[in-house]
Amino acid sequence: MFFVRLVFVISNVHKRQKMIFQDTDTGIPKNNEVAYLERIQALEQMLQMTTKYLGTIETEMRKKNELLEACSHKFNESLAMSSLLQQAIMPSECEFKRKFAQSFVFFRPKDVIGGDTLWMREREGYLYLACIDCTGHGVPGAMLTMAAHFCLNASFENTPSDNPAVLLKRFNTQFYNHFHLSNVKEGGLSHGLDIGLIIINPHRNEVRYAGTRQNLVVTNRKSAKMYKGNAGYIGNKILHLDLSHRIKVVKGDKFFMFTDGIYDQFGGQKNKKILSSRILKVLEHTHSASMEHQKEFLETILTTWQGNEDQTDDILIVGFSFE
Amino acid sequence: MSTIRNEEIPDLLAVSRNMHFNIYRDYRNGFIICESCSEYAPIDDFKETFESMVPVILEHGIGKFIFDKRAMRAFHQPTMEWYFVIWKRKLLEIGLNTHRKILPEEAWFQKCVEAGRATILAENPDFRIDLLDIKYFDSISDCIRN
Repeated sequence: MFFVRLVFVISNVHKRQKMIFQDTDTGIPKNNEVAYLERIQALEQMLQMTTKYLGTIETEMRKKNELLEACSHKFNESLAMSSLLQQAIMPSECEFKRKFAQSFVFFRPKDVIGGDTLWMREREGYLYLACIDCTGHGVPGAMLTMAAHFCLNASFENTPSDNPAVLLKRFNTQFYNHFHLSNVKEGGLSHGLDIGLIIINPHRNEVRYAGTRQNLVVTNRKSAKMYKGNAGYIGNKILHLDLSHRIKVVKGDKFFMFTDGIYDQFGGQKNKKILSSRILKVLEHTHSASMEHQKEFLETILTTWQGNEDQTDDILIVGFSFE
Repeated sequence: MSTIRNEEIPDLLAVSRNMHFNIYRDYRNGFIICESCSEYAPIDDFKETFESMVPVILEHGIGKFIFDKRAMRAFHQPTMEWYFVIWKRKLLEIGLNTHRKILPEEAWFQKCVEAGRATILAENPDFRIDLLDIKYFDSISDCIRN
Protein backbone atom coordinates (compact mmCIF):
# COMPACT_ATOMS: atom_id res chain seq x y z
CA MET A 1 0.00 0.00 0.00
CA PHE A 2 2.76 2.40 0.89
CA PHE A 3 4.38 1.70 -2.50
CA VAL A 4 1.24 2.93 -4.23
CA ARG A 5 1.30 5.97 -1.98
CA LEU A 6 4.98 6.63 -2.67
CA VAL A 7 4.54 6.31 -6.46
CA PHE A 8 1.58 8.66 -6.13
CA VAL A 9 3.75 11.16 -4.25
CA ILE A 10 6.46 10.95 -6.93
CA SER A 11 3.99 11.41 -9.78
CA ASN A 12 2.52 14.42 -7.99
CA VAL A 13 5.97 15.88 -7.66
CA HIS A 14 6.47 15.52 -11.42
CA LYS A 15 3.16 17.28 -11.99
CA ARG A 16 4.13 20.01 -9.57
CA GLN A 17 7.42 20.49 -11.35
CA LYS A 18 5.47 21.76 -14.36
CA MET A 19 3.85 24.42 -12.23
CA ILE A 20 7.01 25.03 -10.32
CA PHE A 21 6.46 28.68 -9.67
CA GLN A 22 3.05 28.23 -8.05
CA ASP A 23 4.06 25.58 -5.51
CA THR A 24 4.62 26.61 -1.91
CA ASP A 25 3.73 23.31 -0.10
CA THR A 26 7.24 21.95 -0.02
CA GLY A 27 8.82 25.02 1.50
CA ILE A 28 11.27 25.19 -1.37
CA PRO A 29 11.64 28.68 -2.84
CA LYS A 30 9.71 29.03 -6.07
CA ASN A 31 12.79 29.83 -8.07
CA ASN A 32 14.98 27.03 -6.66
CA GLU A 33 14.76 24.50 -9.44
CA VAL A 34 17.82 22.60 -8.19
CA ALA A 35 16.12 21.94 -4.87
CA TYR A 36 13.00 20.72 -6.66
CA LEU A 37 15.04 18.30 -8.73
CA GLU A 38 16.85 17.13 -5.58
CA ARG A 39 13.49 16.43 -3.98
CA ILE A 40 12.32 14.36 -6.95
CA GLN A 41 15.62 12.51 -6.88
CA ALA A 42 15.22 11.94 -3.16
CA LEU A 43 11.76 10.43 -3.61
CA GLU A 44 12.94 8.19 -6.42
CA GLN A 45 15.87 7.08 -4.27
CA MET A 46 13.50 6.37 -1.38
CA LEU A 47 11.40 4.17 -3.66
CA GLN A 48 14.41 2.27 -5.01
CA MET A 49 16.02 1.84 -1.62
CA THR A 50 12.80 0.68 0.03
CA THR A 51 12.08 -1.76 -2.82
CA LYS A 52 15.56 -3.21 -2.44
CA TYR A 53 15.21 -3.33 1.34
CA LEU A 54 11.84 -5.09 1.16
CA GLY A 55 13.31 -7.55 -1.34
CA THR A 56 16.08 -8.36 1.15
CA ILE A 57 13.56 -8.79 3.95
CA GLU A 58 11.42 -11.04 1.76
CA THR A 59 14.42 -13.24 0.96
CA GLU A 60 15.36 -13.42 4.64
CA MET A 61 11.79 -14.28 5.59
CA ARG A 62 11.63 -16.98 2.95
CA LYS A 63 14.85 -18.51 4.31
CA LYS A 64 13.55 -18.34 7.87
CA ASN A 65 10.24 -19.89 6.82
CA GLU A 66 12.07 -22.74 5.15
CA LEU A 67 14.11 -23.24 8.32
CA LEU A 68 10.96 -23.16 10.45
CA GLU A 69 9.24 -25.68 8.18
CA ALA A 70 12.24 -28.00 8.40
CA CYS A 71 12.30 -27.65 12.21
CA SER A 72 8.57 -28.19 12.42
CA HIS A 73 8.81 -31.32 10.24
CA LYS A 74 11.63 -32.72 12.37
CA PHE A 75 9.75 -31.86 15.55
CA ASN A 76 6.51 -33.48 14.33
CA GLU A 77 8.39 -36.62 13.29
CA SER A 78 9.98 -36.76 16.70
CA LEU A 79 6.59 -36.31 18.40
CA ALA A 80 4.98 -39.01 16.25
CA MET A 81 7.73 -41.44 17.24
CA SER A 82 7.39 -40.44 20.90
CA SER A 83 3.66 -41.05 20.68
CA LEU A 84 4.30 -44.60 19.42
CA LEU A 85 6.71 -45.18 22.29
CA GLN A 86 4.25 -43.81 24.82
CA GLN A 87 1.44 -46.01 23.51
CA ALA A 88 3.75 -49.05 23.44
CA ILE A 89 4.13 -49.02 27.23
CA MET A 90 0.36 -48.77 27.76
CA PRO A 91 -1.87 -51.83 27.47
CA SER A 92 -3.63 -51.63 24.13
CA GLU A 93 -7.42 -51.64 23.93
CA CYS A 94 -7.20 -55.16 22.42
CA GLU A 95 -5.15 -56.38 25.33
CA PHE A 96 -7.61 -54.75 27.68
CA LYS A 97 -10.53 -56.37 25.91
CA ARG A 98 -8.94 -59.78 26.36
CA LYS A 99 -9.23 -59.23 30.11
CA PHE A 100 -12.64 -57.61 29.98
CA ALA A 101 -14.86 -58.37 26.98
CA GLN A 102 -17.07 -55.45 27.99
CA SER A 103 -14.65 -52.54 28.28
CA PHE A 104 -13.18 -49.45 26.67
CA VAL A 105 -10.17 -47.19 26.87
CA PHE A 106 -10.75 -43.58 25.87
CA PHE A 107 -7.39 -41.83 25.51
CA ARG A 108 -7.21 -38.33 24.07
CA PRO A 109 -4.00 -36.45 24.87
CA LYS A 110 -4.20 -32.68 24.57
CA ASP A 111 -1.18 -32.75 22.28
CA VAL A 112 0.37 -35.59 20.28
CA ILE A 113 1.80 -36.98 23.49
CA GLY A 114 0.62 -36.34 27.02
CA GLY A 115 0.86 -36.87 30.74
CA ASP A 116 -1.93 -39.47 31.12
CA THR A 117 -1.22 -43.16 30.97
CA LEU A 118 -2.62 -46.56 31.80
CA TRP A 119 -0.67 -49.29 33.57
CA MET A 120 -1.66 -52.94 33.84
CA ARG A 121 0.05 -56.01 35.31
CA GLU A 122 -1.05 -59.47 36.39
CA ARG A 123 0.21 -61.70 39.20
CA GLU A 124 -1.18 -64.98 40.47
CA GLY A 125 -4.52 -64.30 38.87
CA TYR A 126 -4.78 -60.81 40.42
CA LEU A 127 -5.11 -57.98 37.97
CA TYR A 128 -3.51 -54.61 38.77
CA LEU A 129 -4.78 -51.62 36.87
CA ALA A 130 -3.73 -47.98 37.32
CA CYS A 131 -4.99 -44.81 35.71
CA ILE A 132 -2.23 -42.18 35.97
CA ASP A 133 -2.28 -38.40 35.46
CA CYS A 134 1.19 -36.81 35.57
CA THR A 135 1.82 -33.11 36.15
CA GLY A 136 1.54 -31.12 32.94
CA HIS A 137 0.97 -32.36 29.42
CA GLY A 138 2.92 -32.51 26.18
CA VAL A 139 6.58 -33.54 26.28
CA PRO A 140 7.25 -33.05 30.03
CA GLY A 141 4.03 -34.87 30.92
CA ALA A 142 4.95 -37.74 28.58
CA MET A 143 8.45 -38.05 30.04
CA LEU A 144 6.93 -38.27 33.47
CA THR A 145 4.60 -41.09 32.34
CA MET A 146 7.65 -43.12 31.28
CA ALA A 147 9.22 -42.58 34.70
CA ALA A 148 5.92 -43.45 36.39
CA HIS A 149 5.76 -46.79 34.50
CA PHE A 150 9.35 -47.54 35.45
CA CYS A 151 8.78 -46.77 39.15
CA LEU A 152 5.43 -48.53 39.30
CA ASN A 153 6.90 -51.66 37.69
CA ALA A 154 9.76 -51.64 40.20
CA SER A 155 7.34 -51.15 43.11
CA PHE A 156 5.09 -53.91 41.83
CA GLU A 157 8.02 -56.36 41.55
CA ASN A 158 9.15 -55.57 45.10
CA THR A 159 5.77 -55.44 46.81
CA PRO A 160 3.98 -58.80 46.90
CA SER A 161 0.76 -57.35 48.24
CA ASP A 162 -2.82 -57.21 47.08
CA ASN A 163 -3.39 -54.02 49.03
CA PRO A 164 -3.38 -50.99 46.65
CA ALA A 165 -2.48 -48.60 49.47
CA VAL A 166 0.67 -50.59 50.27
CA LEU A 167 1.70 -50.60 46.61
CA LEU A 168 1.01 -46.86 46.26
CA LYS A 169 3.14 -46.09 49.33
CA ARG A 170 6.01 -48.04 47.85
CA PHE A 171 5.47 -46.35 44.51
CA ASN A 172 5.53 -42.92 46.15
CA THR A 173 8.86 -43.63 47.85
CA GLN A 174 10.30 -44.99 44.61
CA PHE A 175 9.12 -41.96 42.63
CA TYR A 176 10.25 -39.48 45.29
CA ASN A 177 13.74 -40.95 45.40
CA HIS A 178 13.95 -41.43 41.65
CA PHE A 179 13.42 -37.72 41.02
CA HIS A 180 15.46 -36.52 44.01
CA LEU A 181 12.40 -34.61 45.13
CA SER A 182 14.02 -34.00 48.49
CA ASN A 183 16.25 -31.51 46.62
CA VAL A 184 13.33 -29.34 45.52
CA LYS A 185 14.27 -26.62 48.00
CA GLU A 186 17.77 -26.51 46.54
CA GLY A 187 16.39 -25.89 43.05
CA GLY A 188 15.33 -29.41 42.11
CA LEU A 189 12.21 -30.04 40.04
CA SER A 190 8.81 -30.21 41.65
CA HIS A 191 6.37 -32.57 39.99
CA GLY A 192 4.14 -35.46 40.77
CA LEU A 193 1.14 -37.43 39.68
CA ASP A 194 -2.38 -38.46 40.57
CA ILE A 195 -3.23 -42.12 40.40
CA GLY A 196 -6.12 -44.51 40.82
CA LEU A 197 -5.11 -48.15 41.45
CA ILE A 198 -7.42 -51.13 41.29
CA ILE A 199 -6.51 -54.66 42.28
CA ILE A 200 -9.00 -57.30 41.19
CA ASN A 201 -9.11 -60.46 43.25
CA PRO A 202 -10.88 -63.08 41.11
CA HIS A 203 -10.84 -65.65 43.91
CA ARG A 204 -13.00 -63.52 46.17
CA ASN A 205 -14.86 -61.55 43.48
CA GLU A 206 -13.50 -58.44 45.04
CA VAL A 207 -12.02 -55.17 43.86
CA ARG A 208 -9.70 -53.14 46.06
CA TYR A 209 -9.17 -49.49 45.27
CA ALA A 210 -6.93 -46.68 46.49
CA GLY A 211 -6.13 -43.45 44.76
CA THR A 212 -4.56 -40.05 45.14
CA ARG A 213 -6.78 -37.22 43.91
CA GLN A 214 -8.64 -39.70 41.72
CA ASN A 215 -12.00 -41.35 42.33
CA LEU A 216 -13.44 -44.64 41.19
CA VAL A 217 -16.99 -44.71 39.84
CA VAL A 218 -19.06 -47.89 40.07
CA THR A 219 -22.50 -48.11 38.50
CA ASN A 220 -25.18 -50.73 38.72
CA ARG A 221 -28.82 -50.88 37.64
CA LYS A 222 -29.92 -48.73 40.53
CA SER A 223 -27.26 -46.11 41.08
CA ALA A 224 -23.79 -44.73 40.58
CA LYS A 225 -21.34 -44.54 43.44
CA MET A 226 -18.10 -42.66 43.73
CA TYR A 227 -15.25 -44.10 45.81
CA LYS A 228 -13.02 -41.26 46.89
CA GLY A 229 -9.29 -41.11 46.48
CA ASN A 230 -6.92 -39.53 49.00
CA ALA A 231 -5.98 -35.87 49.08
CA GLY A 232 -2.20 -36.20 48.65
CA TYR A 233 -0.35 -36.96 45.46
CA ILE A 234 2.53 -39.17 44.39
CA GLY A 235 5.74 -37.19 44.76
CA ASN A 236 5.13 -36.09 48.36
CA LYS A 237 7.70 -36.97 50.97
CA ILE A 238 4.96 -38.33 53.21
CA LEU A 239 1.84 -39.79 51.66
CA HIS A 240 -1.22 -40.48 53.79
CA LEU A 241 -3.48 -43.11 52.31
CA ASP A 242 -6.34 -43.27 54.79
CA LEU A 243 -8.94 -44.10 52.17
CA SER A 244 -8.76 -47.59 50.77
CA HIS A 245 -11.85 -49.39 49.52
CA ARG A 246 -12.99 -53.01 49.22
CA ILE A 247 -15.83 -53.48 46.76
CA LYS A 248 -17.71 -56.74 46.32
CA VAL A 249 -18.15 -57.44 42.64
CA VAL A 250 -21.68 -58.15 41.45
CA LYS A 251 -22.31 -59.34 37.92
CA GLY A 252 -23.18 -56.41 35.67
CA ASP A 253 -21.40 -53.79 37.81
CA LYS A 254 -19.41 -51.32 35.81
CA PHE A 255 -16.17 -49.66 36.94
CA PHE A 256 -14.81 -46.38 35.59
CA MET A 257 -11.51 -44.64 36.25
CA PHE A 258 -10.78 -41.13 35.02
CA THR A 259 -8.00 -38.61 34.94
CA ASP A 260 -9.33 -35.11 35.64
CA GLY A 261 -9.08 -34.02 31.98
CA ILE A 262 -12.72 -34.69 31.19
CA TYR A 263 -14.04 -33.00 34.35
CA ASP A 264 -11.91 -29.94 33.73
CA GLN A 265 -12.87 -29.49 30.10
CA PHE A 266 -14.20 -25.97 29.53
CA GLY A 267 -17.19 -25.34 27.30
CA GLY A 268 -20.96 -25.28 27.34
CA GLN A 269 -23.05 -22.13 27.08
CA LYS A 270 -21.25 -20.39 29.95
CA ASN A 271 -17.79 -21.77 29.18
CA LYS A 272 -17.53 -23.70 32.44
CA LYS A 273 -16.05 -27.05 33.39
CA ILE A 274 -18.05 -30.22 32.74
CA LEU A 275 -17.47 -31.38 36.35
CA SER A 276 -17.65 -34.91 37.72
CA SER A 277 -21.34 -34.67 38.67
CA ARG A 278 -22.41 -34.43 35.02
CA ILE A 279 -20.23 -37.36 34.01
CA LEU A 280 -21.57 -39.40 36.91
CA LYS A 281 -25.15 -38.74 35.76
CA VAL A 282 -24.33 -39.79 32.21
CA LEU A 283 -22.80 -43.04 33.40
CA GLU A 284 -25.77 -43.70 35.67
CA HIS A 285 -28.34 -43.01 32.95
CA THR A 286 -26.54 -45.05 30.31
CA HIS A 287 -25.70 -47.98 32.59
CA SER A 288 -27.77 -50.43 30.57
CA ALA A 289 -25.98 -49.58 27.32
CA SER A 290 -22.95 -51.56 26.16
CA MET A 291 -19.50 -50.30 27.14
CA GLU A 292 -18.86 -49.37 23.49
CA HIS A 293 -22.00 -47.23 23.48
CA GLN A 294 -21.08 -45.64 26.78
CA LYS A 295 -17.73 -44.69 25.32
CA GLU A 296 -19.54 -43.11 22.37
CA PHE A 297 -21.88 -41.23 24.75
CA LEU A 298 -18.90 -39.84 26.65
CA GLU A 299 -17.17 -38.84 23.41
CA THR A 300 -20.30 -37.10 22.14
CA ILE A 301 -20.86 -35.27 25.40
CA LEU A 302 -17.25 -34.17 25.55
CA THR A 303 -17.22 -32.99 21.93
CA THR A 304 -20.52 -31.14 22.29
CA TRP A 305 -19.50 -29.51 25.56
CA GLN A 306 -16.09 -28.53 24.23
CA GLY A 307 -17.52 -26.92 21.08
CA ASN A 308 -14.87 -24.63 19.67
CA GLU A 309 -12.88 -24.46 22.91
CA ASP A 310 -9.37 -25.91 23.06
CA GLN A 311 -8.94 -29.19 24.88
CA THR A 312 -8.06 -28.22 28.45
CA ASP A 313 -5.95 -31.21 29.47
CA ASP A 314 -5.10 -34.79 28.56
CA ILE A 315 -8.08 -37.13 28.91
CA LEU A 316 -8.02 -40.80 29.89
CA ILE A 317 -11.10 -42.83 30.80
CA VAL A 318 -11.15 -46.55 31.40
CA GLY A 319 -14.34 -48.55 31.80
CA PHE A 320 -15.00 -52.24 32.28
CA SER A 321 -17.71 -54.50 33.57
CA PHE A 322 -17.82 -57.97 35.08
CA GLU A 323 -19.87 -60.37 33.01
CA MET B 1 4.70 28.37 26.91
CA SER B 2 5.11 27.43 23.24
CA THR B 3 2.80 25.48 21.04
CA ILE B 4 4.21 22.80 18.74
CA ARG B 5 1.56 21.12 16.60
CA ASN B 6 -1.18 21.74 19.15
CA GLU B 7 0.96 20.56 22.05
CA GLU B 8 1.61 23.15 24.70
CA ILE B 9 5.14 22.77 25.95
CA PRO B 10 6.17 24.94 28.90
CA ASP B 11 9.52 26.71 29.21
CA LEU B 12 10.44 26.53 25.55
CA LEU B 13 12.77 29.04 24.04
CA ALA B 14 12.81 29.61 20.27
CA VAL B 15 16.41 29.29 19.13
CA SER B 16 16.07 29.82 15.40
CA ARG B 17 13.67 29.46 12.55
CA ASN B 18 14.03 29.01 8.81
CA MET B 19 11.94 27.79 5.90
CA HIS B 20 12.32 24.12 6.86
CA PHE B 21 12.89 23.92 10.59
CA ASN B 22 11.98 25.52 13.90
CA ILE B 23 14.52 25.00 16.66
CA TYR B 24 13.61 25.26 20.34
CA ARG B 25 15.48 24.52 23.49
CA ASP B 26 14.61 24.08 27.11
CA TYR B 27 17.53 24.86 29.31
CA ARG B 28 15.82 23.61 32.44
CA ASN B 29 15.34 20.04 31.25
CA GLY B 30 18.24 20.04 28.87
CA PHE B 31 16.68 19.13 25.52
CA ILE B 32 16.63 20.69 22.09
CA ILE B 33 13.79 20.26 19.62
CA CYS B 34 14.12 20.40 15.86
CA GLU B 35 10.67 20.63 14.30
CA SER B 36 10.43 20.16 10.54
CA CYS B 37 7.94 22.49 8.90
CA SER B 38 8.30 21.65 5.23
CA GLU B 39 7.90 18.47 3.22
CA TYR B 40 11.50 18.48 2.14
CA ALA B 41 14.76 20.21 3.13
CA PRO B 42 17.54 20.40 0.54
CA ILE B 43 20.86 19.03 1.76
CA ASP B 44 22.58 22.42 2.13
CA ASP B 45 19.73 23.88 4.18
CA PHE B 46 19.56 20.72 6.26
CA LYS B 47 23.28 20.71 7.03
CA GLU B 48 23.30 24.40 7.85
CA THR B 49 20.43 24.04 10.33
CA PHE B 50 21.88 21.01 12.01
CA GLU B 51 25.39 22.46 12.21
CA SER B 52 23.89 25.54 13.84
CA MET B 53 22.50 23.42 16.68
CA VAL B 54 25.88 22.04 17.74
CA PRO B 55 27.19 25.19 19.50
CA VAL B 56 23.80 25.62 21.25
CA ILE B 57 23.98 22.05 22.54
CA LEU B 58 27.55 22.59 23.68
CA GLU B 59 26.87 25.92 25.33
CA HIS B 60 23.89 24.72 27.37
CA GLY B 61 25.10 21.19 28.01
CA ILE B 62 21.96 19.76 26.40
CA GLY B 63 21.63 16.01 26.75
CA LYS B 64 18.64 15.17 24.57
CA PHE B 65 17.81 15.85 20.93
CA ILE B 66 14.19 15.65 19.75
CA PHE B 67 13.60 15.51 16.01
CA ASP B 68 9.98 16.01 14.94
CA LYS B 69 9.82 14.89 11.31
CA ARG B 70 6.04 14.90 11.01
CA ALA B 71 5.94 17.54 8.27
CA MET B 72 8.47 15.72 6.11
CA ARG B 73 7.36 13.69 3.12
CA ALA B 74 10.70 13.11 1.42
CA PHE B 75 14.25 12.60 2.56
CA HIS B 76 17.43 12.60 0.61
CA GLN B 77 19.52 9.54 1.44
CA PRO B 78 22.93 11.32 1.32
CA THR B 79 21.45 13.94 3.69
CA MET B 80 20.25 11.23 6.03
CA GLU B 81 23.59 9.49 5.88
CA TRP B 82 25.33 12.73 6.83
CA TYR B 83 22.83 13.33 9.63
CA PHE B 84 23.18 9.80 10.93
CA VAL B 85 26.88 9.11 10.59
CA ILE B 86 28.57 12.52 10.75
CA TRP B 87 26.24 14.70 12.78
CA LYS B 88 25.18 12.12 15.34
CA ARG B 89 28.80 11.07 15.85
CA LYS B 90 29.72 14.69 16.44
CA LEU B 91 26.95 14.94 19.04
CA LEU B 92 28.14 11.77 20.69
CA GLU B 93 31.61 13.30 21.00
CA ILE B 94 30.17 16.29 22.84
CA GLY B 95 28.16 14.03 25.13
CA LEU B 96 24.69 13.88 23.59
CA ASN B 97 23.55 10.34 22.89
CA THR B 98 19.81 10.55 23.57
CA HIS B 99 17.73 10.94 20.42
CA ARG B 100 13.96 11.04 20.40
CA LYS B 101 12.11 11.07 17.11
CA ILE B 102 8.60 11.54 15.79
CA LEU B 103 7.79 10.24 12.31
CA PRO B 104 4.88 11.13 10.05
CA GLU B 105 1.89 8.81 10.48
CA GLU B 106 2.14 7.45 6.94
CA ALA B 107 3.25 3.80 6.96
CA TRP B 108 5.06 4.16 3.64
CA PHE B 109 7.23 6.94 5.04
CA GLN B 110 8.03 4.94 8.16
CA LYS B 111 9.01 1.94 6.02
CA CYS B 112 11.26 4.20 3.93
CA VAL B 113 12.95 5.47 7.10
CA GLU B 114 13.48 1.86 8.20
CA ALA B 115 14.98 1.04 4.79
CA GLY B 116 17.17 4.16 4.89
CA ARG B 117 18.48 3.32 8.34
CA ALA B 118 19.20 -0.30 7.37
CA THR B 119 21.09 0.92 4.27
CA ILE B 120 23.17 3.40 6.27
CA LEU B 121 24.05 0.80 8.88
CA ALA B 122 24.96 -1.75 6.20
CA GLU B 123 27.18 0.76 4.43
CA ASN B 124 28.80 2.05 7.64
CA PRO B 125 29.64 -1.03 9.68
CA ASP B 126 31.97 0.98 11.93
CA PHE B 127 29.16 3.22 13.10
CA ARG B 128 28.44 2.38 16.76
CA ILE B 129 24.63 2.62 16.88
CA ASP B 130 24.72 0.77 20.18
CA LEU B 131 26.21 3.87 21.81
CA LEU B 132 23.10 5.86 20.94
CA ASP B 133 19.79 5.81 22.76
CA ILE B 134 17.27 6.27 19.94
CA LYS B 135 13.55 5.96 20.55
CA TYR B 136 10.45 6.82 18.55
CA PHE B 137 7.32 8.43 20.01
CA ASP B 138 4.10 9.99 18.76
CA SER B 139 4.26 13.34 20.53
CA ILE B 140 6.69 15.95 21.79
CA SER B 141 5.43 15.44 25.35
CA ASP B 142 6.25 11.73 25.18
CA CYS B 143 9.70 12.53 23.79
CA ILE B 144 10.32 14.93 26.67
CA ARG B 145 9.03 12.52 29.30
CA ASN B 146 10.92 9.45 28.09
